[in-house]
Amino acid sequence: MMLSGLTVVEAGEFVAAPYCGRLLADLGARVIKLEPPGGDLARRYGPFPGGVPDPEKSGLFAFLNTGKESVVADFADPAGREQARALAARADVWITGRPCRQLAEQGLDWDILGHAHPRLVYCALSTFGWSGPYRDREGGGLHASALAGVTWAIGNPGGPPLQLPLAQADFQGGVNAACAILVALYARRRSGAGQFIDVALAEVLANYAGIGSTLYLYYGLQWRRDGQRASGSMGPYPLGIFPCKDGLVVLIARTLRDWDRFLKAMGSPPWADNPRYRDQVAMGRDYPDEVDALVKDLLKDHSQEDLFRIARERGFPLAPLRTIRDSLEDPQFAHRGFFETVELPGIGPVKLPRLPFQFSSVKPRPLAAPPRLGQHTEAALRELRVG
Amino acid sequence: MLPLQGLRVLDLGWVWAGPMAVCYLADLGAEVIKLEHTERLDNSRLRGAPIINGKKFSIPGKSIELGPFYHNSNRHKLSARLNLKHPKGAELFRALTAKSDVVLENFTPGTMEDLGLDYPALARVKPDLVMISLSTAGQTGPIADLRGYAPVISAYSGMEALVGYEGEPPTGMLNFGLNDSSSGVHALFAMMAALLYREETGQGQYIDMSQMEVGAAPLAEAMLEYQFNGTLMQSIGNRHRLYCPHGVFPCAGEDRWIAVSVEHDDHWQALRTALGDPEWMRDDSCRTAAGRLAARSRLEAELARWTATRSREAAVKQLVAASVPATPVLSMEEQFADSHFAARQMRQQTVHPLLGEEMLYRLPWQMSATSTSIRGSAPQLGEHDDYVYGDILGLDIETIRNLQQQQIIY
Repeated sequence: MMLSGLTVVEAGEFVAAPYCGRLLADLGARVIKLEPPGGDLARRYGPFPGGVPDPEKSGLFAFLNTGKESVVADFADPAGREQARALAARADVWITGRPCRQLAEQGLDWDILGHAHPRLVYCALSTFGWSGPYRDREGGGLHASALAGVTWAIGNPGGPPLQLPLAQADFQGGVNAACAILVALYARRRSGAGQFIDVALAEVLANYAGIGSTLYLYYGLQWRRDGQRASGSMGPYPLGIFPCKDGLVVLIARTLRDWDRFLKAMGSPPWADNPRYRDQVAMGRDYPDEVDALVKDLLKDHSQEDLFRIARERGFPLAPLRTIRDSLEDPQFAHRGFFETVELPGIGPVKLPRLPFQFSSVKPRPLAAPPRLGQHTEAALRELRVG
Repeated sequence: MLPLQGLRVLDLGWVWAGPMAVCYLADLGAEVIKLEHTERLDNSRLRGAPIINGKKFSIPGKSIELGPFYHNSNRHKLSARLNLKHPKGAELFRALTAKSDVVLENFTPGTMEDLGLDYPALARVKPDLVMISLSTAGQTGPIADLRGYAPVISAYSGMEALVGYEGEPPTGMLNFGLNDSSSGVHALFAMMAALLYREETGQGQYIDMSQMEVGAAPLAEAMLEYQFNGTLMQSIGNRHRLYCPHGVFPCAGEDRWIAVSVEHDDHWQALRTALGDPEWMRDDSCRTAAGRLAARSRLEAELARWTATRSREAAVKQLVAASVPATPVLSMEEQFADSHFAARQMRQQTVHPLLGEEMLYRLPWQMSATSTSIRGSAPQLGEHDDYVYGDILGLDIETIRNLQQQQIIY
């Protein structure tokens, strides 16, 4: 496998650090997950079969921690910290999502581990980062998204701004950390030295949104929430969510070519040639509600499935807002083997997503049930004793 | 020295995810050559000139050079013109590939094959090539031909339906092309893994990435809930399945909001301290998460009453002082001005030869031994024709001018 021979110690909970670890584990790295005695937060997070909490039956934990080893190390206890340091000494990469102040107190921050092990790549994931005025503040994905300017632009005008769903800030932190780690390993081949990496969830989202917001500058539009539309259609109309017969669809037909393809596919309504409905920038900026009403009328008798088929045949971008059930049963995902069936102990078979890409000559690690809490503690201690 | 110095990358990316993915390689020192065709430009060049401080920033004939989005997603690259549809143009591309390490493309599947530039053809001239295709749905499968932008993709993957107010139809998040950014970064991860593997083994790689899969994988929580219990998760606004209070609350003034969360019992105690332990917080049942969830609507209403009488800044200050997780909900202009982001130099100033001073976002991470700083802006169309075809391919200047005249380098 691609990262065979790489040893990673993961001292982070919930989603961000574990998603980073999972990306590396799938490519063959040995990922030793250090869990507190009560287990990773995701073990208590669920979802659980029947809604009954059980640290060995959390669905989110299973997805994030397949392919890893679980070692219990209590950082509040000197012996646990010593064990963590000993594992770091043999590792290529240390990933943590714990607060920087706490790690410094415990002798597990970069200053100490990096000094003792110059080849170590030390990656810190946090909401605000390990420098700057907010470094010691508490907060999670809700706060990262709020500070980044992302939340500001989601929701109805006048209504409360909305967060991203299902810990997306943490996932983005995780994948950025995984990239930075591979860059550091690449650099280490030449320099022989590891380094410290600081990934802040708020900064990752601020970067994404800030770059995206420049798209509004061309039209003098504000980055603000506009209900089911991109603000002012982000320039040319339409970029929005519309109801159809049995659900909602996203329609993006922001060039005259795509707009005409759409109108023709919908039977060329009498208003199609009216100059008022040819100036897409004016439509998006000045009278989107008026055009929305016309578009809704065109869509109302068509099902999501019909519209998706028509859009593909005629070549304009449209997709239904689908549910998770649709995804799990999707023929495209099935064709590509995107879901692997994994037998979870005491639960049965479930589908878990693999990595979103495939390599021509290397297979990733097959997905398996995640480790039980502390399943590998004894083995790890034995390994350390043998030296 | 930057870690990827010495690597050469050919960029056939369009719009966002593709160009951004190799932009990161350029940030880290790779020589990234964006190959552009004058009559079929990346649409991020075609949005016209920006409006800055209420004024259209216009230079006649130069609008394709003035786009801030183009600058952010193509910084540190070189630009050379090339008409891939001309057989001689495809030949030039193959010759460049022989002298490069990475090729990225995000055309509709099949396009590269039609041009004679698919992976097998390119691997013949460069056996250890790392090539990545990042299409909407992947190179294979019943809807591999699907055309789509980020919101189309995230609608299909199930993300958009999860964004909205509780009990209402989803609003989606159409302003925010999360799937583009996420695809760019996932592509970077795949390319870096392939490059490391190449260093170890000498072996090249073809990477088939699906932007739809990028969007679907982080929804695993909802996938497992459905598989375990048959329940389809719905949008729940700013609420949280397990934590309470957790949300965005109004502050004094127009459109001023604060994000506050209580993620464990210590936070609840901290919130009590911060608010001076008012009557509504003293209920013993609220000491546990289960009790707070049971009283959710009441707690949210009371907290909103408290925030609504305070300025956003005062509320944040008071809560943060007591170690309650709280941040202002910033607008984009406020993000630009935020002191924390500024201290971390998240945006950095560069000078574009036509636009002048401009702030660009650096890579969203900091490294102690590798600079992720902005060093320059994006190239102008064809700025590096002579370097690419002369210095790299060894063509003489007359040949280059001929190819330009024949609209092959064009």
